[in-house]
Amino acid sequence: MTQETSADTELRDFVRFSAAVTGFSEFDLWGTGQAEAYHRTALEQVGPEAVRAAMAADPSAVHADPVVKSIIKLWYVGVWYRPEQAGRLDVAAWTAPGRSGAKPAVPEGGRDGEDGSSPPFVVSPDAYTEGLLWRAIGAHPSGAKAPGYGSWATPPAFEDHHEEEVR
Amino acid sequence: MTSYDHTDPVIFPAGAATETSAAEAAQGEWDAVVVGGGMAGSIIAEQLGQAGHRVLILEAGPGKDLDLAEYESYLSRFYGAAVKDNQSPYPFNPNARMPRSTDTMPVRPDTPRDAFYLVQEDEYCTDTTFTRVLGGTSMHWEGKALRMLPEDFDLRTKYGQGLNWPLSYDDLEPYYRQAEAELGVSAEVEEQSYLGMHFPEGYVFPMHRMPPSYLDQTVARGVDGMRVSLADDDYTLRVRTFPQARNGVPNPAYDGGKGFVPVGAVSTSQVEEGERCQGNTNCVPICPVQAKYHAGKTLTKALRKGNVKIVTQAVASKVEIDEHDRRVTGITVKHYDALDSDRYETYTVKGTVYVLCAHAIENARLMLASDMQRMSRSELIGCNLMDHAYLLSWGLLPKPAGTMRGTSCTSGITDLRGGRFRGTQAGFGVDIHNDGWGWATGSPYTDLVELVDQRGLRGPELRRTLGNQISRQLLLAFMIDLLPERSNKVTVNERYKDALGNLKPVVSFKIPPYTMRGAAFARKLASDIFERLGAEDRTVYHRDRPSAVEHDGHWYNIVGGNHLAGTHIMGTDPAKSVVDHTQHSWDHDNLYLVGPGSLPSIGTSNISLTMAALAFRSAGHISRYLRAAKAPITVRG
Ligand SMILES: Cc1cc2nc3c(=O)[nH]c(=O)nc-3n(C[C@H](O)[C@H](O)[C@H](O)COP(=O)(O)OP(=O)(O)OC[C@H]3O[C@@H](n4cnc5c(N)ncnc54)[C@H](O)[C@@H]3O)c2cc1C
Ligand code: SF4
Repeated sequence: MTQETSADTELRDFVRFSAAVTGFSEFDLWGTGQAEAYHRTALEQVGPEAVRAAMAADPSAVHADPVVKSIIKLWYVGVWYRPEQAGRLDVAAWTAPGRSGAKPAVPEGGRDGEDGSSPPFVVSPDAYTEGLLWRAIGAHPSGAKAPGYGSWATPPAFEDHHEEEVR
Repeated sequence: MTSYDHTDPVIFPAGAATETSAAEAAQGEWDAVVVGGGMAGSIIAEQLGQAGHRVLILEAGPGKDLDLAEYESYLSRFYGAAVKDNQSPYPFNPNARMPRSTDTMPVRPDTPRDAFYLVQEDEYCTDTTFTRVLGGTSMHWEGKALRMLPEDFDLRTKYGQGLNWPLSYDDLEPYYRQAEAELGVSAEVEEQSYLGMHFPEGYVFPMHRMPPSYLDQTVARGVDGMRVSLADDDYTLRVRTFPQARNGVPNPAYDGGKGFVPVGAVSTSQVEEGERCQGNTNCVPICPVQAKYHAGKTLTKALRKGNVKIVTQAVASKVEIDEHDRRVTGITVKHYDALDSDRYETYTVKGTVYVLCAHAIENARLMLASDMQRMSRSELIGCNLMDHAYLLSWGLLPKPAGTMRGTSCTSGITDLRGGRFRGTQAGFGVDIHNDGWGWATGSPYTDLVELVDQRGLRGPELRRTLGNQISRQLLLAFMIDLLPERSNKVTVNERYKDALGNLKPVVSFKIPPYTMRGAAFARKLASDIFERLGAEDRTVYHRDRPSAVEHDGHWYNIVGGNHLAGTHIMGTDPAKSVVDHTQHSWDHDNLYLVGPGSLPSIGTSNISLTMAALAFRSAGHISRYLRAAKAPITVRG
């Protein structure tokens, strides 16, 4: 009965594509509550053309479109890494939570993007806690969704995820 | 029913952090003026307030209230921050800056003036940090609460190294118990009775130990019973849990069977959350449920009594001294309007006694900026800066071990903290990190980039590989002793000033060979442990980082321990120390310097429990000083 708009269809396509590349089901992805925010982020950052092209590309190719890589990482940790930053371990290290032995010096200005380049950013505080990474590693986001006292003493249990779950 | 059900919530009194204006504070005459509302300052204020003295705390950082809104803004800032370093929960504050590990770089003439707070001009730079908000560094400390070993107090006599303390373990023991109650320490006496550490008959810690993680258990299977020979002695290693200042299961046998009531979250709407540790691996930088002790808990008790007042956004900028009798006559404070404005007003506050609790680097910075070295008989203000040297080693275990669950660290290896080998090389403790390789490599985010971008993994394979790879990570952090050296120091220099015109701290810090001999041994031990566990050693050190140190032809990265100490060491001789065993300044009669800066050595225990024990001890002395000063018969001349 409801009228499916082309925006709805695009969002659905985005989620379907994201499920294939992340290894999580569409159900999981909608469950994060972040689908619209991520879709919007991708569109704003690289434009509709680039997003469409990325989704049309063979997602399994190693040297896939860097936009695909940005989209996968967005779902996993809620951070938008610019496609040009693909493969940059130093950039990843700044954005990782916790202590910083590996974090290269980032002067205040560099963090704010005053050098003209846009630094990676977290789409929203929720994007961090909803990151798929935590579920993939059988854990929980640092600092949220606590698993409970003493839970760490038992052997790790990975969420049961079968290939067929991902469609 | 657990004792959590009986918890009478201790709530930060609404408005307490803002109700006293700097102008009002400057009008009154206080019994004690305390600089710094961190762990040391809160303990001193609480104890003096309790004894009936009128106390004013000057706090440089913001801290409207430690209420839910403020605490949650820290959390959400952390979640939303792209660069998630230790300080990322806190707003950038040009008026009371703090070092960020991401600012660590040698400062050269062309380095932008605002790019750093801690000025380091040497090749080697430490990425150590401290925090300037209400509650101080305890807002983001990890919460390990170890006692020092009895032998740490007379290292010089025993092993011919470092300095002796003017106190013994037994002198401090009752205060250790007091600190363990205040911080709410979880541990078992049987497990902590090693290398001479002893406890009075019948003592138990307030709470039972934190359960060791599955990762700890995995490491223990390989390490327990491992023999190490060092300087003609044999040591047998075992994995042992660390005492932790975080809420676990209260021990009913505590206090002769009275039990222990833990302090939960001190903010209004969070009471039901401030219970026991939930294991979100986030102790550093901020505990979302306040299961971990932070100074706000002590501060809350202090402010509820009414004798203690606090002014925030008040940066102590100068200690005023009477040239004649060398007594402190006041503290000059720059009180700023807001974080994003450099408008401030200057006030001078006055008290009978002054207690500097701004932490090791800031205490020294403030005294040096006040030109007090000139009056110091030892000229040791700022010297003997210490911090634990951390060497990281990381490997990949053969099977998933549940890494990334639990508190940052639940257990470690502590058998090499003490022994005769300390005559030639540094002792160390070993932390087993439940949070994987993060500290060393930036994992798990770097794993993600590697798998997605470099290896091109997608879909279920990506998900599986990530889980498998991260759950197998083992990081051993070796926390190595570092002895006092005069040349490791904090100074000030007119060239470097912050937004309020206060001088920034200039730090020169080198890792001495004694410590590096310990590091080299630690590196070998890590390889042996990895081998026993069947783990693939993935450690790499980088020569081109500011943390690089060469020793015996090999390069290592020594990262900062955040255990800053020793800038105003205690001793028995005014010519060789800055304070006496009560942390009373040798040179200024009505001045006490309280905090880790007074420690003459740091051994291999995270410093704060010892610092807290000393603060409790000094509070008694300061209170006696005040009673004597207030007594009508006292004639001062
Ligand atoms: C990441 C990290 C992990 C740590 N983990 C542990 C651990 O596991 N175990 C352990 O024992 N220790 C640990 N520490 C160290 C511990 O946090 C410190 O030893 C402890 O907080 C020191 O207490 P303090 O009261 O002396 O100083 P702080 O807690 O730093 O408090 C000093 C206060 O003074 C204020 N101040 C500073 N300058 C001025 C000024 N000019 N005017 C007015 N106010 C001022 C500050 O804003 C602050 O509130 C850790 C530290 C860090 C950074
Ligand atoms: S593990 Fe979590 S709940 Fe426990 S003390 Fe650390 S941050 Fe707090």
